[in-house]
Amino acid sequence: MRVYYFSQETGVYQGEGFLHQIDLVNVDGVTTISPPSYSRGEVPLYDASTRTWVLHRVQQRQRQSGDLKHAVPLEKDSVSCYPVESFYRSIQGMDVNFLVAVSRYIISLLLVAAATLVCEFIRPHLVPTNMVMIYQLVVVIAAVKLGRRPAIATAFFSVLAFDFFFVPPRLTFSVAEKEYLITFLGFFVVGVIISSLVAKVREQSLERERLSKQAEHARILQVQENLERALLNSISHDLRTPLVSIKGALSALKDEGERLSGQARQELLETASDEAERLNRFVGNLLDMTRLEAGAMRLNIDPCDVQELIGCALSAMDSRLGDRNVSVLLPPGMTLVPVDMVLMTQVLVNLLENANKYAPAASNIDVEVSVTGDWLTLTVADRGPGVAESELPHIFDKFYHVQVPEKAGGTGLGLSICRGIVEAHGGKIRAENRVGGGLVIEVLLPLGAPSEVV
Amino acid sequence: MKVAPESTGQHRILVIDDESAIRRFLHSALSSEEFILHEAESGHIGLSAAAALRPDVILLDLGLPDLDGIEVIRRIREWSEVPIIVLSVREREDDKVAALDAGADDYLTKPFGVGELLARIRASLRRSITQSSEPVFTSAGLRVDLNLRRVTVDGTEIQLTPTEYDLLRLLIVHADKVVTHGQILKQIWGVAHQEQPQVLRVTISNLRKKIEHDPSRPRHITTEPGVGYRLKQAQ
Repeated sequence: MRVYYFSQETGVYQGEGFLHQIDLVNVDGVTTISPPSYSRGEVPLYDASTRTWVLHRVQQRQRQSGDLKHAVPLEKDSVSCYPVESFYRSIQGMDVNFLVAVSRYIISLLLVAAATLVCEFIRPHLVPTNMVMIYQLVVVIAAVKLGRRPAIATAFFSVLAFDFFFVPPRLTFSVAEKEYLITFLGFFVVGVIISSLVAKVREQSLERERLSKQAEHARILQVQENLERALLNSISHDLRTPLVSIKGALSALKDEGERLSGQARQELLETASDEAERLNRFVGNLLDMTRLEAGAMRLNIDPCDVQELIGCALSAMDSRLGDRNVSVLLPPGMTLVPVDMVLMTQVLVNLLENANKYAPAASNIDVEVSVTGDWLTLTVADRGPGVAESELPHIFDKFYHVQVPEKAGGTGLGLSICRGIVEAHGGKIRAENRVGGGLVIEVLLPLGAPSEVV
Repeated sequence: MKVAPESTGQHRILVIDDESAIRRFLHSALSSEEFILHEAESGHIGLSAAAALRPDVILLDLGLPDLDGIEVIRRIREWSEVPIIVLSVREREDDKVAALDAGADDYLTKPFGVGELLARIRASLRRSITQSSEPVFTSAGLRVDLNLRRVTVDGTEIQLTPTEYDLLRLLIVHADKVVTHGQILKQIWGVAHQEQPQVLRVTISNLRKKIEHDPSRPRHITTEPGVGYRLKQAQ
């Protein structure tokens, strides 16, 4: 059992390692049991009046700024005391230092009891004075594990137990031979000295461990910060680029519209409209990514006709595909696959969009579906430049841009969203270069209903 | 509030949306000889405006600050059959289904183009004017005679099973309008089948094979993912 300190104001935990369900949490001075498990984007706040943890939804920026005043409680997950065993109920609200101290002295009593049991077993073979060494051992253990004071208590309890159980006359505290008093005194003094020395070493090593953990923590924070800054730069670039075109085109029309030719006006309007569409797609991707990462994507799984799925994606891509020929090859009959239709359509749209972006203008895009055992395989293949073998494993990473100089303009999110959605369905996604040039992306989906919908 | 005179022939559109920028854009885009626009910035104001103005079409944003959009639909439906077109964002498929099941006629996903919006408004107006549907439905090669139960594609007669015909007929009655999965299952298979969406998938797939030129790119019956189906009527 470890103790954590939690501030309701900032939502910050302090303590060693991960919070476990049997740990204690000191919430602004009040001790209680650990909160229920919660995901990213949520924070548990303690309601002292009802003695319950209530999960709250919280924005990343609220958490970072350390302001949880406006965190919104989640209705469904208002979780009462957890776990509900009476022991944990009974200790709620007690002083945390007192609880920890008591638990240590209880452990020291248990150690002495254990030593006594061992001595009882070897009593026929040893004279009582030798048992002192076994008691000395538990004092050392207590000093290492529990600290100085519980170790001294262990030495004290050991003397009592030794006297009571093993020094003749047995089962009384009286002592027949006076020299045992010297043994008791010697034992106790050695116990105290060992306790102090071991406790000192223990504190030093704990301190060193704490410092190295702090350094490690600081290093991780630095790496995270760099990564977040890179992401933020990438996102703000992708958001701003279309806005620059939209604002530029609209201001030209607003301020200079009179002077411009009809054709120029039309071109400006089309630019603004296309870029607004691009911005809309990027925002959609960003939202999908956020929801996938926050674990907030709820799958609405139904048996879907694969042909219908492809039809939806093709119709969503209609204006972007233009004259491009997309050939669709399906197994005979109807193939039903249990998926979230909205999300899986998004996967196909992203794959088609990717193929459309890299493939030469007149080339085909081939969509093919096949069934092998319990798996459905869906491939989208293009005749574009393909991807260098060294880059293949990375193309599903977030914000990864393939090194093709003249074909920029992707968001670097499309394929990582595909992977997120496919994996949420218990499926797999992979890419390989196509024989004869181009890229094939293969999506594998389980045909049996995933366990979570049963 | 000013009530537009009936004689002008302009259709009255009521926009219920709390975003002033969106109301402003709709006002500039829709106000014309054909339409006169009225605005309400909250659910409660929208409800009283609907009663006072008797609009021909209502455009309703689902994310209102004071009243749930679904609740607005229910309250209007207590006394009026005015076409309601819901405006909602992409991620909220469940809200769209709930709105359609509560009595909304159609929905548009934000952001939308004006062309698309005008098409939906005109389709809604057409439906509310011609109450009983025509006995013969025609659209781009598809011809369905509802009296004779005869279906032809490019002049060739097609044989449909009774279930396929009933489904096609239901979509024709609601031509150009989304019909949700729940509504179809209830109407064609009865309440007991509400939980079995695969029978609907199979029937749609078979129907498409019979009436569509390329079932992978359907022209007549289009799928609204996560929401339902729409039978398009080419003008």
